[in-house]
Amino acid sequence: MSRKLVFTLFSMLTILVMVAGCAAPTAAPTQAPATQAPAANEPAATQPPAASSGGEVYAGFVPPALTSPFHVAMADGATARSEELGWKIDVQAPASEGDFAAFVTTVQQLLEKGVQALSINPIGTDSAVTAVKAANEKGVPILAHNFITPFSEGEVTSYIGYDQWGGAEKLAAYTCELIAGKYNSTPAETQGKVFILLGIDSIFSHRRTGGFKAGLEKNCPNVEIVGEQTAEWLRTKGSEVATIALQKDPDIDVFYGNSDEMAIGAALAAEQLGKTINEDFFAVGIDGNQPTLDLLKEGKFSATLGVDPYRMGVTVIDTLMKVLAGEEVPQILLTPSVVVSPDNLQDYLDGNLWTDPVAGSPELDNDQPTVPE
Amino acid sequence: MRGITKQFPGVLALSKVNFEVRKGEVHALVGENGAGKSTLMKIIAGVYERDEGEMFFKGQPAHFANPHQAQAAGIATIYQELNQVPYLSVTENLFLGSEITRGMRLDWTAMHRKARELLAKLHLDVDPRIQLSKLGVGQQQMVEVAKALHQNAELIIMDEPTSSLSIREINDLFAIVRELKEQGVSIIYISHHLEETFELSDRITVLRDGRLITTRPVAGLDLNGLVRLMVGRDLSEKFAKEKATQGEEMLRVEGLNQGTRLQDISFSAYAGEVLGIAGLVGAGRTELVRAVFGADPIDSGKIFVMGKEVQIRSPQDAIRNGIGLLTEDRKQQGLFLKMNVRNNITMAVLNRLTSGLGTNRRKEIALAQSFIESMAIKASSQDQLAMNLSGGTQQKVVLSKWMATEPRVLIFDEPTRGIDVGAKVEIYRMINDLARQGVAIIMISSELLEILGMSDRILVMRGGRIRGVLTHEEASEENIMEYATGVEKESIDLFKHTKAE
Amino acid sequence: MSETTTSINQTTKAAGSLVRKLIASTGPLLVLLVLAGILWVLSPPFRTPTSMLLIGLEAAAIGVVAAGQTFVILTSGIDLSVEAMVSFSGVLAAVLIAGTNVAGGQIAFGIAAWQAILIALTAGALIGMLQGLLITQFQMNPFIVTLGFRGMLWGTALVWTRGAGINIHKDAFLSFLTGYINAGNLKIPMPLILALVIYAIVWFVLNHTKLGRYTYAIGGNETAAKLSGINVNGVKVIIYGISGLLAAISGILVMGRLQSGAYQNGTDMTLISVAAVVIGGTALSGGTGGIWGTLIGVFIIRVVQAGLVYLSAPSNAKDIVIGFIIVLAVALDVARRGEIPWLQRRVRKPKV
Repeated sequence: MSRKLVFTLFSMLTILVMVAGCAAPTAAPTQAPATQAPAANEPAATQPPAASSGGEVYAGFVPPALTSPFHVAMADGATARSEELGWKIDVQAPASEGDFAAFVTTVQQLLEKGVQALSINPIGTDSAVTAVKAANEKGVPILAHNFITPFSEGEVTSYIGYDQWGGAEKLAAYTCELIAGKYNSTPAETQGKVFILLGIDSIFSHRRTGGFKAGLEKNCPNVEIVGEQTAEWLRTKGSEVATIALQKDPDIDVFYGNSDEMAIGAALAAEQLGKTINEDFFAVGIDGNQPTLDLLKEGKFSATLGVDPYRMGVTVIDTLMKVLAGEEVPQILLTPSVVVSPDNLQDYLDGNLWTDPVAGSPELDNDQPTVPE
Repeated sequence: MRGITKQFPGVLALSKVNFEVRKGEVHALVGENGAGKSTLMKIIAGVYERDEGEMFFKGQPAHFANPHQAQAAGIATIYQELNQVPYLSVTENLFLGSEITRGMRLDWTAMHRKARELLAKLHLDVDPRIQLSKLGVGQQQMVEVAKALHQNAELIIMDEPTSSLSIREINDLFAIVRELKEQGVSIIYISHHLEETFELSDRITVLRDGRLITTRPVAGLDLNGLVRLMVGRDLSEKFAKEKATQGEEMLRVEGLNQGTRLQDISFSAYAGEVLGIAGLVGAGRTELVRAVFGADPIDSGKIFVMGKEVQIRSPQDAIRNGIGLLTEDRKQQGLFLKMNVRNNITMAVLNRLTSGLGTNRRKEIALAQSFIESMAIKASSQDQLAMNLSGGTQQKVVLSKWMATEPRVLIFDEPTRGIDVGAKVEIYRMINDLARQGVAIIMISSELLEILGMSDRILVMRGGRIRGVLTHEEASEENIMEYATGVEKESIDLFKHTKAE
Repeated sequence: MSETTTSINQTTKAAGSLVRKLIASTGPLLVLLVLAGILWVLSPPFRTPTSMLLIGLEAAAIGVVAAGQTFVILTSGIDLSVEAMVSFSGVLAAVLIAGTNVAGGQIAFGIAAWQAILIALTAGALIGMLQGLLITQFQMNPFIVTLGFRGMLWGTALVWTRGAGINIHKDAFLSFLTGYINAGNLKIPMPLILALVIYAIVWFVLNHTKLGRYTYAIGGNETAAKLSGINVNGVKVIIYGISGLLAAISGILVMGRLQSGAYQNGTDMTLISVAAVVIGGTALSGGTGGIWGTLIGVFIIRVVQAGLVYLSAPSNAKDIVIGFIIVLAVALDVARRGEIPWLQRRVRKPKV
């Protein structure tokens, strides 16, 4: 009998140590800054926490999950900027991107911890409404990042993100040039074949595909799209889909992926089948993650739409700072996106291609460009 | 071994047992099921650890934390439940754990050669490269013996080695045991077949209820005396058979067919009578009763219960029509080991014990209690788990389950397999009581004396058909065997193996 | 005088054995209490009523699913389709309430919430029973069948929603279902109350009805169950139906809370439900275990997840910690049952 107790206690200690170990890197939030609203009694909910201008701010940052380098980079940017400002930032996310309920719960738990401002990046669009309303109730300013489609309910102070449609159009324009280059023609005249790899059906895939197609229409109308298949945002699936596509149509000139990863997968598949990238075919995608940039440098990828998640994260914190200081910020803040190729890669990395975010219009799932023509 | 004690949850398996074996001796260990024989042996073999007491092997204090250590010390065990891998070859089984290697690779040539040598010693004419499962059970058991020989053990424990052997194989085994004895190997021999122990052993140790009763030389001991020591009481007439009055026809089967396994089966069973079904392994006896019970589908045939034709397509149908079946393997098929006594007893009659929304606990407890008393079930309480009961008690629990269904026909498939002498008598008594109360009993048994002693009529099966129907007066070992093997009477003597009881 | 001493002795003995029994039978409960205690001490935000509310909400959603999973695992089966059923039922109800774009055309329904919910629940039960039928009539492995349905249900939800969640506005009934009651300082979420009611019902069924008894019998020894006249196939069909129904209920709760029927709503719920069942003491081989253990398992998981957020643990550590807890809890459980050989009582020195 005593053995069981020993076992139980021992295991409890182990869990405690583990959890404490996890908590060590970031300071425990139990020492509340003096400006924090009391957390123990519920009725104080409607009292907004006193904003400290220039003092330490406790901010929350919620990506959909930290399982992709894109979101990690964004969180890194936000964290770096926070440290510069002397803020305390709490980056929390569910374990997987699809766990919407956990996302909402995490936001609410951060509110419990007493964050004075936060920014969230939901994938489940309107399922985040509950979270937004919770922040509104507590009077905590809330932003949305990497996302410029307004929620149907709830007050978000600002939506920060890039124009997917517009960015995809730019990428398409560049793609036309690549194809024209291959056939020694001009974009307006050249023919060619493009295969589109879609992400999982969502507003993200709709906008990026829509923009890309519009861009092709505009810049190289004689280029045809020979196929569209979902590759579920995954490199492995991109590879599978491309392999099959090439069996049917060995002359595909461009693989375009709603995300870099899918396009990379397609590139690998084509290489396997003996094609040479940037000679026989091109692979382009959207994201601008580090793995993609590395491949660009090696010449194993053609072009990507760089949206600079790191600096987007920085922008988030800067915007929060303005909000807390009482400044007006635009409802929609567009961050720049730029086509990155091996030529301007270094400039992109150095941040030379970054332009200041501007006010803009929301992006809606309506098959229309974000920025009206 | 001195003062050995071993406790399991709810059961004191051994209490201060002293036991010793001399070099070159065949020492028999007898006792009812649950007496502690297996436990004692498993402690020697390193499977269990003793709670108290000391053990010495070849004069040195010995403690085996696992079977490997015991084996390394020179102790080999041949278990009742064969420890073999059926899908591997004979050679692979023989050398399991002690493979011959040449550098890094397994040396199959050497192993096959050695295997052939070992098998030859046992007159086993078998190619060691074939899959073990292709051998008959008796041969598989001989392979176990070969394995023990191979390990050059100085002490061999044999736990019910002859349970699946044919007459010829038993004689071979005895010859080997004698040979080993001459070589100075000690043998501990556990067997329910008491006459074997008389034939083979030098000394006998009797255990009862976890205690040592006596250890004495075989010479001068007689069977009845031995049984009395084991059971602690006189063994009165075992089968308690009275002449049965054949009552109403409870069950009639006409023209039952099932593929090639059962062909054209027709028979009747009457209230108040015990109908025995005899035959060799593979004759189709279990298949027959399973078909009647609805556990397996049939191709054609009719079943009548009390004169009315019924459709039996599942055990549910059978039970509804008053037919019950106690299977051959009660642990695998009859008991819910993780459930307690009460739940096991009430499992087939829950429909009767529900009231309103759910099960009526009070009715269940009452029903279970009535059976615990009337069947003298040895359990610490209704809540004791079935897996902690002895074999005989488990069988009583299963029997209670079926009696609760108030059956018209009750089928027993090997009712006393693996049960000690004392409990056997109780089971026979219950069967006879049931018959007296008007139930039609059908009993499959491979023990000739049991079938002869208990049955009013005997069906003998061979190859899926009923070959003979004998009345209690007509039946004898010879004619049963005749029908069962299809061999003429004179040749039977070659196979005859008298069991003196 | 000696009589009173004996009765005192007896009472002490009885109390002692009761405490012993409690500890022996509540391994997981002990884990939960210790965990909650540690977090309570370390983290003030953990103590707030809202925090408790959130844990309760999260526990309710997965708890209902885990209750169904308990049934299935008790028969030594498994239901991998639950996470997809959660999504599917939420999406189905949302479609019926708010309409959707399918193949470019807008389909508008707009029936009352309770009607949509009823339909979704019926669908859940029927689809579950269909799985049960396939498993029993075609002798198909539950793993395979439920895995296949997982794909089908998820895919259907995806197609109907075209990737975007279907937003709904909660009417009175749905708001009631997903709201909370105030009890003094505490806010108790309705879903939690609903979950507890469901657990009570499941407890009753498992311990006091034929269906429950047969469930344990089938898990303990399916052959013996069949030969004892139990309609094994019938019971299994009902059980998978129950699992489907409960997952559908959970789907409504999640959809209501998020105000959106999205195909991702059930993410991760399959493995977490299985983990909760196992942590709570029900063996994957079936035949033993109980429903309250599952509830404790659910709370352990949710409390740990909340704790990780409150203690600012790195987010990616969540999987590690949960996995660790599962292994630990199962090891504890096996130890408690006395099934670890090297922990069994060792040889004591003989008294010479």
